This record gives sequence, structure tokens and C-alpha cells, in this order.
Amino acid sequence: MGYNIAMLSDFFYPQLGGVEFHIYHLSQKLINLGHSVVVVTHAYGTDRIGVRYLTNGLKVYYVPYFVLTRETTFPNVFGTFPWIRNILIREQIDIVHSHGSASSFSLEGILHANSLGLRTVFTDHSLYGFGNITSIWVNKLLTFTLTNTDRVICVSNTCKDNMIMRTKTDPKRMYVIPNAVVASDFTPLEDNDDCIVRSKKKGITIVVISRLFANKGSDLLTHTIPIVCENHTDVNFIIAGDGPKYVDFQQMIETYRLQDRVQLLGSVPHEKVRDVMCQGDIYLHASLTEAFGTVLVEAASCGLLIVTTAIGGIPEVLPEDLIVYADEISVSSLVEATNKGISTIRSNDFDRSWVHQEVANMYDWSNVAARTVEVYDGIFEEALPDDKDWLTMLKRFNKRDGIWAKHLYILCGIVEYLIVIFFDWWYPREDIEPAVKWPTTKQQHHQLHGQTGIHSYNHK
Amino acid sequence: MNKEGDEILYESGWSTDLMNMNVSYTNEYFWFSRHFLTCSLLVFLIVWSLIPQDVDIWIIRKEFINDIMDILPQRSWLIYFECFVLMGMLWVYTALLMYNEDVLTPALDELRTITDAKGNVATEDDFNDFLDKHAFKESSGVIDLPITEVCEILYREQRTRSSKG
Repeated sequence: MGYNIAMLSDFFYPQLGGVEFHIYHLSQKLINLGHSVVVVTHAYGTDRIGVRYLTNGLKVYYVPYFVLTRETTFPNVFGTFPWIRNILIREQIDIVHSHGSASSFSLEGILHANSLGLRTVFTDHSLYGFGNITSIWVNKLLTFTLTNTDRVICVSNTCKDNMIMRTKTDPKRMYVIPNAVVASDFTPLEDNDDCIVRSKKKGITIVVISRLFANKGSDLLTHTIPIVCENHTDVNFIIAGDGPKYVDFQQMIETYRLQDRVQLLGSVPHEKVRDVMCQGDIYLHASLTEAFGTVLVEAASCGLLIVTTAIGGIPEVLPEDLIVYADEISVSSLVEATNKGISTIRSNDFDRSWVHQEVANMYDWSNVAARTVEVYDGIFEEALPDDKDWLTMLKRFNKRDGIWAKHLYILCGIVEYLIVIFFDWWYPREDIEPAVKWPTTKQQHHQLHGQTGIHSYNHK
Repeated sequence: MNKEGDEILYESGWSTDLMNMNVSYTNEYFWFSRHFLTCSLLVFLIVWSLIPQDVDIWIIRKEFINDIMDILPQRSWLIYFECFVLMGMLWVYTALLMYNEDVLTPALDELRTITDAKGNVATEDDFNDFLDKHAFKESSGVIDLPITEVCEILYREQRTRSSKG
């Protein structure tokens, strides 16, 4: 029988992005494998609040909580404790799996789960630097949180290296499990459609789909696009995405009079991304930092040739014959790589027929879920009896980081344990009603229909 | 990285430390001095707020301590400030919990606890179809299940039990 798993993160639907889809698809596949999964996130907008059930019985708690910036809740270490405790006990959780190092929800959730004696896993989805105040802050917070986390999963080997440097976590506790794509949602154009679309199209179309932020290389793009347009009269651009750099793109179009050649689509819903991608021949990616780059896998799955900067985890993601790399992070290298990509497409050297199947074989969420379950199994197999003992956890804090940070960690730990004791007295565990669990299959649902008592999963 | 690339990244305000392999020591000096100054300030503030004025401490005579205290602003301001910060933190914790509870949390009978503008609700005429297509089958897009069907699946057995009993 399966585990009861809670996925904690600030980032979930209706926000769209790599982390959000990772949580959603991983949860769905874990449910298919017979586990029970709940997602805990903060309320979105004014009305997506409370409990929602999604297909396959995936339960999502949208907790009303003050959001500080960019959909991240106000970080304050202890504030989330009362309701996280309530949800974890109510759902009889065995494993708390948190996502995203910039999410205060996930980091605080891990601390609370450890204090309550539950097993914890953390998945990191991004790379961070070391040289600015935000990074230092996030890294310290992460060092604190990961001290007692049982397992850490990174989405690429680069991400793992970055994580080890940032938090000095023992590599033996770390695993690399990549993201995946739903290949059936990113199919190349069918032959018939293909003929119609391509007959309408003249020249080569380059697609860019990205949030228009500085770290996604927007500045490189606004310099690269006019040069490519000047060199090749038959090349057009489609740019999808929104962000603070949107204005720069508008200015670029006006300055170089590229209204006919560059199409700015703004934000595109995820279900339309495939349609945008299929209009192009080349996908151009100029990101300055990327832990995995799911969008590259999606573009490859649609049969596009990829031109990209060789940054972060990107070189691990796809085989070399699908990608043209820019040698350096500069406009001239990016132009050079784009030229190379354009000549490959022109000479028909790029055989797109097999790419989709290849990508579908490489990246599949079922595989990701199976590997994640192995990580979960490992926790219980290698667990020591005093792993979640409060004193042991304090001793671990004492071995971490610098003199100030270490004492702050211990102080936070002690306050946390006092809060646990207080709540165990004030709102005893027995007073929290256990939630009714979703039946794993339709058959189970029918069997249970006649039975008495609340059906719940057998704990492993 | 060539100059052209560097300049654009610099203009964009994006820190290049993730990919820049040319080690520059300016950053190290900057961060060390910052670390040093911050730590010194913290130690100074702790000593300033706690040091007793009416006894000799080891070789430091109380007259000397009093002279230094005369030069510095009144110590009570520092202590007021520290108390203000501490109480401020306590206030933020309480206020945050109250704000979440009283302002952000809707009443239990409000419609938005059930559905919302972003909700993409699955509807089927036949309950069996609903079970086959949505309740026990994953979808690649996010689709909400309607609350009535959810209750039907979760609580039907309890209802059966109570009607039998």
C-alpha cells in the first residue's frame, strides 16, 4: 500500500511554470502508483481559496495566507505552524515533500514536519548565486531547513552541484531526478496540418517562449534579433511571454522597424504553447541561468531545432544533435549559433521525424514518479530511530554554518519545539478529525460503498 | 565572455557571478569588509546596551566607561529601539495570524470556498461517466471536480451506514 504524501509549495495552479507542473504531474503519477497525495499551497487571487479536488482525486489546500511578493508568502519561520500541523495530522501524512527554494511555504513546512517527527524530502528547481543579499538570505534559510531534511532531489546534476556549494548538504542524501514533459501535449504538426501551415509560411520562423526577465536573457535577445533580421531577409520571429522586459522588445521592434518580422504575443496559456511552437522551425533560448529548462524539452518534442546558451543544466537535458550551442554568453555567439541553426534548417539536415518519439522515450512523468518513490522507500529503509529526535536535530544545527547563523538556527529550533508542545496541549492531536481519503480505484470505490467505517490507506 | 556580452549583462543589472569564471577579488574584499563591519556593529550595540556603569570591569575603570557613555547618545534610546524591534516582531506575528484569519479567510458558506474564476470544472451527465473520465483518471490539464460529486464519492458510504443504522 502507499504512502500519504503532502506536496508543499507556494507555487501551484493557477500560476503556471515548471515547478507548478512538476508538482501536478508528479502527484498524479504518484496517485496512479497507489499513493495518496495532497497539495498544500497559498490561496490564489481573491477566490481560489479553501479545498479543491482535481482529477484523479488530487486534493489541494489553498490556504489563505499573506503573500509578500511574486506569489511567495511572508517568510516568518513559525507563522505557518498552526495550520500546517493541522493539515498534516488531518491527512495522516507520512512524507512531506516540498518544492522550490524561494518558497517560504515549503521551507517552513519542512521545519514543522521535522518537528512533528515526519519524514521530509525537498526538491530544488533553480540555481542560485552567492554574491547578492537575496541569494545569501535564501541560502542561509535553505541551510537551516535542509539540516534535518531526509532527502534532497535536484532536477539536474548542475543543480545538485550548485546545491552542495550553497548549503553544504551531504551528497549522499541528494538525488538527481529530472523534470519531464507530457509528450502527447507537445506533438509536432501532423502531415496534413504541416503541409497547410508550411505552404502558407515563407522562410524560417524562430520562436522564443520565455518570461521576459533579465535572467532569461531578454537583453541578449533584444540585441540579437535585429542582427539576425538584418542578415537573413526570410527569417521571422515569434516571441511569446510577458515580463518587465516586454517594453524593451517593443522598443527594439520600433527602433529597427521590425513590425512585419517580429511578432510579440504576450503571455500565452500553457495549453496554447504547443500551437505557438509548431509555427516555428527553430527555438531560440538565451537564458543566463537554468537548472533544467523544461521548455527546451517541450520545443524538441514539437520537432524544433534548438539554439541555446550552454548554461546550467541545459547541456544535460537533450542529446547534442538536437541543439546548437552558443559558445559564449554574448550577442555575437548567439548570432553565430542562430546562423548555424538557420543553415541547418535550410539545408534540410535536421531530421525532425524521430525527435518527438525520442523525447517521449527520454522524459516521462511515470518514470519520474517511480524514481521518486524509490527515494521515499530509501528514507524508511535507512532511517535511524533517533533521526527525528529533537535533541539530535539541535545537535545537527550546532554543526552547521558560521557562529552567528548556528546559534540562530538553534534558537529557532528551540522556539519551534516549544510551539509544538504548546499546540499539543492547546489543540491535542486527538481533537483533529482525520480526513476521508479518496479511493485509489473505481473498483475500490464500489467495494467500499457497502462497507462501514472510513476508508483510509494502510500505512507502510 | 567577451566585452560586448559583459556590457549588455552589466547594463541589464544582472549579476554574472553564476557563469563568470574569471575570479575577481573585488567582491571578496567587499563582502569581507561588509561582514566585518556588520559583526563589529552588532558586538558594539550589545556591549553598549548591556555594560554596567557603576562597577570596574577588569582593568576598565567605571569612570572611563562613564566618560564614553557621556560621549555616546543616551543609552535608553538604544534600549527603547531594541524593545521596539522585539515588540514589533511580536506584533507582526500576531497581526499576520489575525490578518490571515480575519481578513483573508472567507466564511465557510461563501461560494469562493467551493469554486472560483480560475476553476475549470468537469461536468458529466452520468455519474458513472464522471467516475471513468475524471474521478479516477488523470488529466494533463488542471480540472476541478464539482463539490457534489466529490461528496458523493467520499461520503456515500457514511450516508449508507447512517441510513442502515
